[in-house]
Amino acid sequence: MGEWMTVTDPDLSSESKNICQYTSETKMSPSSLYSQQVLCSSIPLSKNVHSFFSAFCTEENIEQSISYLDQELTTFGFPSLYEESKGKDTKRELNIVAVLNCMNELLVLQRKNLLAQENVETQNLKLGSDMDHLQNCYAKLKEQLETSRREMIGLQERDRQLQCKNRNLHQLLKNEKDEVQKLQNIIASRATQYNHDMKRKEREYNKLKERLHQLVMNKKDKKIAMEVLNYVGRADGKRGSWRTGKTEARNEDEMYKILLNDYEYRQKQILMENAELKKVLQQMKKEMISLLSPQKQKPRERADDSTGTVISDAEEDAGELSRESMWDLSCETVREQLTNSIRKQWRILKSHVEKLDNQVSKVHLEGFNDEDVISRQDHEQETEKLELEIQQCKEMIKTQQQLLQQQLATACDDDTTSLLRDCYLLEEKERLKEEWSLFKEQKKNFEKERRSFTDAAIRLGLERKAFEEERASWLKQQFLNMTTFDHQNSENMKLFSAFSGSSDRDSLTVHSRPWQKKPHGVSNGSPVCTSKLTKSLPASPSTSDFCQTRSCASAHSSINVLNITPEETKPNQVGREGTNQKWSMASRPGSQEGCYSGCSSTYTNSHVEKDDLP
Amino acid sequence: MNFSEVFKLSSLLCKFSPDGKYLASCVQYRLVIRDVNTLQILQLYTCLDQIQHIEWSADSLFILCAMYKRGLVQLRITVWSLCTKSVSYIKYPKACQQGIAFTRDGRYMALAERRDCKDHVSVFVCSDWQLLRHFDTETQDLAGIEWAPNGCVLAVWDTCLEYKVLLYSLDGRLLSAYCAYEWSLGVKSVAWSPSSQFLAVGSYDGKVRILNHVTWKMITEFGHPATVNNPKIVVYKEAEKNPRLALGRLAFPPPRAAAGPASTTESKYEVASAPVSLQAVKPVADRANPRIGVGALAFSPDNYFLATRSDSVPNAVWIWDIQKLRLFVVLEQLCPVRSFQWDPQQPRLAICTGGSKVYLWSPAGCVSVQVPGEGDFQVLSLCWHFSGDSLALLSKDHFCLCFLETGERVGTAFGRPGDHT
Repeated sequence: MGEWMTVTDPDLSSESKNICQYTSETKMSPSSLYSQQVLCSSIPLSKNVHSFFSAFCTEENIEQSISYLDQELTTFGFPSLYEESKGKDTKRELNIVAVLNCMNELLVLQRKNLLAQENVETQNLKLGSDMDHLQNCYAKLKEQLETSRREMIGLQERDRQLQCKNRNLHQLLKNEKDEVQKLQNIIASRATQYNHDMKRKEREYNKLKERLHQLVMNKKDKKIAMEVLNYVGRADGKRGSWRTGKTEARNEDEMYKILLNDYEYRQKQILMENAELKKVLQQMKKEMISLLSPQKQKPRERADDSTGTVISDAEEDAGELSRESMWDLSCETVREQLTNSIRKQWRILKSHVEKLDNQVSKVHLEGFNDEDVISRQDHEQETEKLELEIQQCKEMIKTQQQLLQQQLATACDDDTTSLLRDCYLLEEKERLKEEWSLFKEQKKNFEKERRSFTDAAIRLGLERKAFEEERASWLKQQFLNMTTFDHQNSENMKLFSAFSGSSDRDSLTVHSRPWQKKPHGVSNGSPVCTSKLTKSLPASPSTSDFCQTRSCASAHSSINVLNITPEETKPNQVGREGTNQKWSMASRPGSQEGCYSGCSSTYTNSHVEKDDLP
Repeated sequence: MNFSEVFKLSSLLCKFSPDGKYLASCVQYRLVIRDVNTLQILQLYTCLDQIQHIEWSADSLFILCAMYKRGLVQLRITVWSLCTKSVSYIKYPKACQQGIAFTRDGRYMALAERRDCKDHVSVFVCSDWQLLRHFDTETQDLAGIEWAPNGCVLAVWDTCLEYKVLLYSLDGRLLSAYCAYEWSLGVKSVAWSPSSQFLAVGSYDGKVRILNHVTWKMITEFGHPATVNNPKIVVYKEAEKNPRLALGRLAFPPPRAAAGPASTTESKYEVASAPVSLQAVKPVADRANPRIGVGALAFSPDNYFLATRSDSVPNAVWIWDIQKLRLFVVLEQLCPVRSFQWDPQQPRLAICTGGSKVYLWSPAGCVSVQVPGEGDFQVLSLCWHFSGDSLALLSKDHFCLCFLETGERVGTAFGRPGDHT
């Protein structure tokens, strides 16, 4: 909501401006409005205000109306319109001064009321727009709520559908699983049946085979049987050995020998492999220790004496030697030790490498970003530091100045020292002093400007005189020399036209600005224009008629303006401030405030800038 | 790169001897043994019937030719000794994808067995066919077994109906059981890394899972999506050099008939910029053996790379970096990849797609090589010589050798991606 408000703020302010304009426009006819309001409040029954107004006081009932007004006013607490009677019999005279005072007070009251009314109206409008805004917000939020509710319903519906789907899928999965199970069961049963059948068939087949065998054997036909015709003699001439128990044992032995050889061969291979692996492990361990130790041992070495380190080294060496000899035993405990130590070392190494990797990746990341970024960051930090330093230095200087001034003040009069000790008063005084000095400076500037203005006016007068003289001489020459008239006149015309053009432009700019900015300015007339002219005058000390006619007024009015806003140094700000003064006279509180704050802000800004300069 | 002249061949039967000196090939009922270097015929054997299988002996002294038509019903495994008259019988072998596996040193043989509707594995000592271990496996219907290259671990996987990989020690202990998922088609292909360090399991979900040899748990899984988004992965796309035929050739699946006239057109590799979408086929769900999942896996001999093929993206070969456990390169061919094989000596992959070209990839780049010769030579299969110097390319009726320069010339040959020699 906070954001909303800030976003809509400009709108509101613009609206309020519009309203201001509107109200100011309505105020274009103040008399009618005044009467209207006054009469409305006093006599609400009257419908036709003007007719009533005209009917209120006529030639005939002046006395009555005066007395009526007197009554009314006295009841409202105003002083009587009549002069205080010296005698009771004497007819009371109308006190013009009192009437005028009353009128003035009434007008002031009226103005106040109008102001209040305007304020109330703007407030009302503001509140109305706020209300509208809030209503809009409410409507939007309601819509949002509705849409989100709808969305939620949609999502719920989807969720439900998905759940439904999920359930269906689960069911399907279950069905599939069941199907698979069933099929597996079928396969298993088929397999058993197949095996059974196979066995039955095989038995039949075996029977048939037996029968066939019998049949073949029964024939005992030697001719069909295969025979070796010519035996080949053995190369060594030995005869085949008989099959005995001995040969059987020998075969067994041989078989086991072969197996044993194979196992031995394999064991040898495995041993070799193991040795290789152990060597690798040992090397790895050593390298790891050498890699990891320097970081850890360095501090320890510094702490220990040199002899202590020697001893520890020797001990470690001894440990290494014993371990190496133990490795060949390859008993389980040693293996465990070795693997554990390696694992430990490895873990350390791994963490170390990971750390390094992280660092490297960080460096890489930074490296990928341009070096500018780093420098920029550094720059920013540096500038921040420097700014801080500057601030501190400034404060230092300020305090020093204060102290100096304090000392000076103490030197000046002793009475104020007690007061100056009070820091608040001191500060106040300091500020006042600064303001005073500023004021003085500005005054000086203004004086200078004024002098320059008067100088310019004098110069203008002189120039005009010279011009007049020249003109007269020209006219004389014209009369004297008719033949050269045309040529010279054209030149003169050219000069004039150039002049008038420039002055026209000036006047145009002068006129247009007040016109555009504030329609009231026209009615109020000269002061605004002249204030503008004061700005334009030193820039273009022209000799045009327009400027001259105004210059007197400007010389007079600029003093007023300058008196009103003496602090301003820049002509632009002078003009603005001046207009603001006028505006306040025209009773536009909203815009005035805004302008004022804007002016003051620019003012302070300029101040800050000035502060920064040294 | 040089090519030999084209020789006749039948049934894709062509094999280098283990010592790398000889090359055996079959034409109908004849078996031809050639010298690898000169390609001159050293021996010519004639069999009584069409040869259906050949196998070199480990010492390269003998060769076996199988003529299944002349066989007889055997419900057991019979082991004949070639030097003594001893014959060993092993009962209850299981007829499955990969029911028999020898260790690389030839010392042990693992055999999948089926007795009383239960799967068992028997480990035999090959020197005297003595049963070393016999244990039952926790499988529904064992599909395959495979020894680790060091011969100490046996990987056993279940039928495609169930994802199950079991790992047994040589002495029959269960080391680990791995199951990635249930109720879906499981393991499609399995491959050990040459160092026995990794077991790659390709499955029907289009992923390869790598198990480690210490804990036998999964280290990582490689998916085979049809779009490659990672810009770090190089995608080589085979492109026709002849732009006029490009439109017709882009149709998928590429018509086999069109391969004839088009075989003369040259192709090259282009590096495609990410994201690359690979041609994928929609698998037919209601048929057996759907074309999905990782159907082929192969580690490079130096363990650095793993080549895979996803059957739903048949034109592409994925090559994974095993050191970094991520996708390295994708090759997309114009035709579905028939087979690929690593050079036994270096990380170099040979690929054939049934066209007249052979494709080679190495970390330095990849090339597409036109097989010279009149007529059409559709490379259906290929096999490396163990030295990595030559490569046998097999078509339906012919075969030829492709000689690869070694050493510094390899570097130049694989200089730039898209290079064409």
